[in-house]
Amino acid sequence: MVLKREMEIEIGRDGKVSIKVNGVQGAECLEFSQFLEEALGETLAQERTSEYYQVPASTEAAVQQARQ
Amino acid sequence: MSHFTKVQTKITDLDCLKQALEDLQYSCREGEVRVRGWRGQWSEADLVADLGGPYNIGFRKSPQGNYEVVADWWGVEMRAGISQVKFVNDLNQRYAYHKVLSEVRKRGFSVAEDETLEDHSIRLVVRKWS
Repeated sequence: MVLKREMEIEIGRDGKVSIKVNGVQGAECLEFSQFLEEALGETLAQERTSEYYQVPASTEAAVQQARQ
Repeated sequence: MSHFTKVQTKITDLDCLKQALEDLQYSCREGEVRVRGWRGQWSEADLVADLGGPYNIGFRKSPQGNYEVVADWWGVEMRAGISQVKFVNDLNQRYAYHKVLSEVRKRGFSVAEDETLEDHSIRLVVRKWS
């Protein structure tokens, strides 16, 4: 399955950058934009939204298998 | 969306810094250049933006790896009419724009949207299929 992964980036007039990641679930999402955050400078704030707490389908299947 | 991050830009990439200064229409000199700093004391810099008069704005690499702006801001503001706050903000914005594009392209993203909004912020959408 091919997934579309996106970053929405807003660069303020003062050069502060906001990055929103779309289409990447769970902890992998933090890694997805990490390279950019590190290249730009210093992270000021990070907020996790509801999708972060969703377990990716493959992990869920693995958990169910482990329970059986 | 999964998470949201806010980053303070630090200037570390010389190529992106030069591109940002070019966007702002400053001509630059690189190498062993001198900058007229605080109280008119000249000091060494790695890059200097000329202002077409006795004043200039220099950039010096700090031990932490980021470029610091060196200038006699009183003179620059009075004589060249460039305010420190505006200069630094504009520079950070143009720098961040070039740095974002350079980093995401290295990672195989394509740029789907690139626009300047009414409040003069820049909005980019970059995409990757995997």
